[in-house]
Amino acid sequence: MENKNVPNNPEEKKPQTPPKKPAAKPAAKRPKLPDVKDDPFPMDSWLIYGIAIIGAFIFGVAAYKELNPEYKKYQVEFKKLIEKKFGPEAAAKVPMGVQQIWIKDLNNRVDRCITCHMGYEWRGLEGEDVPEVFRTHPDLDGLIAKHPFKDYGCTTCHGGQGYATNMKEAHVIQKGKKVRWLEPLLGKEKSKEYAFEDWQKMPLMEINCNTCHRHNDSLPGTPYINLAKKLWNEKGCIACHKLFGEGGDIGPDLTYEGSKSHEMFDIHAPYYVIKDGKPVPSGRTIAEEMRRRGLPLSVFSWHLLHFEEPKSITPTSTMPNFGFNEKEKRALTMLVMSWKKVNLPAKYIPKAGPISTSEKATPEEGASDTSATTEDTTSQAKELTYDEALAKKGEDLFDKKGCTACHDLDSRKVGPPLRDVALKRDPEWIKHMIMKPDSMILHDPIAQKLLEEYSVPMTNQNVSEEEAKAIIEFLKKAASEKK
Amino acid sequence: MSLKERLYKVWRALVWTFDPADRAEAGKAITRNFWLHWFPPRMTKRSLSWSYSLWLGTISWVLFVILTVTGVVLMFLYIPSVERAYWTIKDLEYSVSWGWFLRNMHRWGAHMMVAAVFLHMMRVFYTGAYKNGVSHAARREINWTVGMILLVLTLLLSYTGYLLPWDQLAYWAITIGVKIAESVPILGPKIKFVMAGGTELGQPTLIRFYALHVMGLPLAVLLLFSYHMWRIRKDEGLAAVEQFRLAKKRKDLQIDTSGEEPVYSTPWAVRRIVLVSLATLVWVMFLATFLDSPLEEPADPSWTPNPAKAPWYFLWLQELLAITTIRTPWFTINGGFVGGVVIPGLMGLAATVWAFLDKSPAEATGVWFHKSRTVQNIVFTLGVLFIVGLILFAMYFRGPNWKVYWPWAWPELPEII
Amino acid sequence: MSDVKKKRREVLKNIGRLVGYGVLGGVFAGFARSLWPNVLYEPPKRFRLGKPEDLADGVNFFPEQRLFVFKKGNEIWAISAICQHLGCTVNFVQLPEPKVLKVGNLEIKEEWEFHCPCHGSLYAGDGTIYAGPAPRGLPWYYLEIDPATGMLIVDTSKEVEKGWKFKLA
Repeated sequence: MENKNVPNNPEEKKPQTPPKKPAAKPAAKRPKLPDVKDDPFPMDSWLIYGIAIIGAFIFGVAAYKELNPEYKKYQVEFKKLIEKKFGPEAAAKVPMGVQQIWIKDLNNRVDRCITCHMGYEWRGLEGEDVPEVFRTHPDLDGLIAKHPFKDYGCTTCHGGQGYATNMKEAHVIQKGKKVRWLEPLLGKEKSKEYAFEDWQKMPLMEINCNTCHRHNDSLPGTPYINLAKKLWNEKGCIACHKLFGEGGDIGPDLTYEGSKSHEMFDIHAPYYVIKDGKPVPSGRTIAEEMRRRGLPLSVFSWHLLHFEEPKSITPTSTMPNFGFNEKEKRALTMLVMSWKKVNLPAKYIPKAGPISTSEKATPEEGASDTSATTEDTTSQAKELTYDEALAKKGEDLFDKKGCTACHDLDSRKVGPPLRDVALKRDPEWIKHMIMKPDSMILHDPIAQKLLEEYSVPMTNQNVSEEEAKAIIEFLKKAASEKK
Repeated sequence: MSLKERLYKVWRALVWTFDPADRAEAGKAITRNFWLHWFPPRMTKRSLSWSYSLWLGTISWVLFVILTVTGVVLMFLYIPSVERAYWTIKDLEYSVSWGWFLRNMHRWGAHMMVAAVFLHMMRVFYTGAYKNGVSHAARREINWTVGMILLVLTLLLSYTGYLLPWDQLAYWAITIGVKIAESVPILGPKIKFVMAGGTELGQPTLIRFYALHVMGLPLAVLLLFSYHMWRIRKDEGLAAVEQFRLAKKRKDLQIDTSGEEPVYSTPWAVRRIVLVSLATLVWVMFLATFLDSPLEEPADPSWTPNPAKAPWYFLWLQELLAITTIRTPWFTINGGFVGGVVIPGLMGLAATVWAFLDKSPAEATGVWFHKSRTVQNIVFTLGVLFIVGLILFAMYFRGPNWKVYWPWAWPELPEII
Repeated sequence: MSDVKKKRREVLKNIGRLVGYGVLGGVFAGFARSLWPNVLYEPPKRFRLGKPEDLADGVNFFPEQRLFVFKKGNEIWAISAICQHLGCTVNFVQLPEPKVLKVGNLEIKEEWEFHCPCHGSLYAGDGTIYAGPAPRGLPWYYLEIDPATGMLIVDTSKEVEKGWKFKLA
């Protein structure tokens, strides 16, 4: 609705009278009506045209942004590459504009990675001379034949934001303005951030492999996850942690640990260090500890610290310090973080049986299984004397130190039942076993034999000598109360 | 007649009302053009000046038009389903040509409109423009009340639109909003139940909000806006003209009558409207080009972003809710009721009836900060500062767990990996 | 004001006006462009049918792509199930016994037919139209084997001549 005060046709032009400025008049008198052509706001036209020009400039910027998306230069580049390698005919077939893989059956997943990574299924672009962004996806005939692009897309394995069509948001690079997306690209950069030795193999991707393959005992190409599953069995984690309703209830249920929200990890809580077997505040928060070690502030880092020493995060935790090495910590972190709640359509559920857990003993087995390592059993009738108060303290400790995770008095759990132990072994042996299980396993034949039988080594729970004495008193009491 | 002449005649027939040749045509144009017929043939120069009205009403209306146009286009591209809504927004951002621009214009336009309508209300208050001066026919209090309703409708429009992206920002902001509604005594839970279409936010909520956002509320705004404009005619123009009427009636030479000169509505007022419309459009385009709308993670009822905040225009209510909840060993004050209902309710009620209770003299009509209204201007300003202060405080100083932080010292929250 | 100056003003104003319309036009053109989809949420035109040996002998129907795939011995061929009249899905009708149908001067041996439920177009067993409003017969599509996976692939954007059949090695 622009006004047309200036006629378009020259015929229409009338001699204009110069605008008369109405002279100041007495207030009460009505001013004379001006001519309709007298412009009361002479600046307005110029303002309109000026703003229109500003508007044109802004629109120009917007149009430039719209018509020059980041991916365009990759597509132009790729076309050139194809022309050079396979000739103009092949280059003409290179599609332009946003390209996507849409997988209706897999919860409507949309992956637009191929808008830039155009060479993903072009054979003949495998070489080192091809820029990495355009290179053919490795193992097209092996892994990809089993997981075709059109059924799995890209982000199912690689992570990242499939919808995005610019690198920062697609790869979820959290520098500068935050990208609001929870699954970053598990590529080389991420693996490097966590200082993986083999970052070039993008080990973090194994998390996504195991999200679907969690029930496979081992999987080719996932060394970390395989190691973690081995550790899971060896260390008897199932004694304390539940998976799908099976396992102990001393520790938290880990079935969907990977789906736990990052908001639930308080990284500003104090970080503890272990002094004389007791956790004492380090004066740093968990976040500060992560920064000190050059780790990103993340749930992943939280798990790394937690596997290193559970009490450093939760001082009251009864989870033992298993003394995992760097690789094992990473492997286990990846394992628990891969346990996500996902809606897999039936045809995507991988074949093969459930993850094998350490052979679980039935109560009958446990009850009948006390004779295995009893060569040095002393007489059952041996008189046992114990200090009632100390035994009470020992009972508390037995629970607090997490012994109950693996041991029961009367039945076999991860470790042997302990009702008789005070009768079978002398207190010194028990003390050593409690305080230095690692060295016992190395040097003591009975401990070695027990390990052979139970396959899970006893863990060091940072028990002091005082405490060990109390626990032994408790075990004596238990033995004397035997029915 | 040559073809050129004939074409020119047709052209003139279409546009002459915007370009009258003489006074008679300028008068006739008003009755002959549908779009002009609610204007008087002439207005005073002061009514049309920048400094009197600041043109905030026109700006609000232009924003409404921009929102309608972009909104209609967005309706072709958006799917109001909890499974698809978020992803259609992602498509707007990444794959639809100009989708980002449309969405940004719509989002920033909406924020601007809330601000413009509120500022318009402030202008009307400070100029005493809800007063009738010496006019016998004017009932400007009615238009003030209509304006208050339009302000509430604008807030509701913005609020219902806030949910539609179905991301974490939307989901939790609306959760908080619905909770505030729930704290109304007796009816609260029922209001919440009807608003959400259930006990929690889900598909019924989304479709309800969508229907209100694209149909119910815009229609209500359109009807009330038409009435709002019609009333200006019936109230004998903007309140600024009361100054001239007063001067004429009392022959008072002290009253400032500059700007009494008549201006033809067409073409001169129309041109100014075009100017304001264009400037508003360009401003919104500027924001849309250089500022991206937020879009957080897809809505997930299982985790709340920390802190979760209501849309900015409701933030002051959220803050009030937090600070009016008082627990003592003897009694507990329900912040939801006091902060969410009593205080804003009383403030709204006071503002609405104010126009009927204001007994300042006729000279205070249609003039900025008249000295006879100093006290009420101060009270009103305190009210505005109260709201703005709470909003700013909640926006910049409330960090995780609704604790007070310096804006630059917010604790960082962890990523997943 | 001199005429030259006036003229200059006129020119400037016309430029300003054009720019103003240009901006409005541009914005509206952008909005209109947004309705033209850049990506499609549709099943791809070239898709996998599965391993050729997994196809049933006789007719196989793929509802999502609206396609009939026939297998007889080592021959496989694909005929569209989309009526060429107004796009309804045709029904596969098994004849009680094979017969010979005369269409013009063609003689078609057939064991089944395709009947369109919407407006009564009738197609012979090879897709030839013999009654009803459809302007042409049902198209046949190109088939190939993906060398990497050994999967049979159909390309519904590539029409082939009637009677073209893929032969399994």
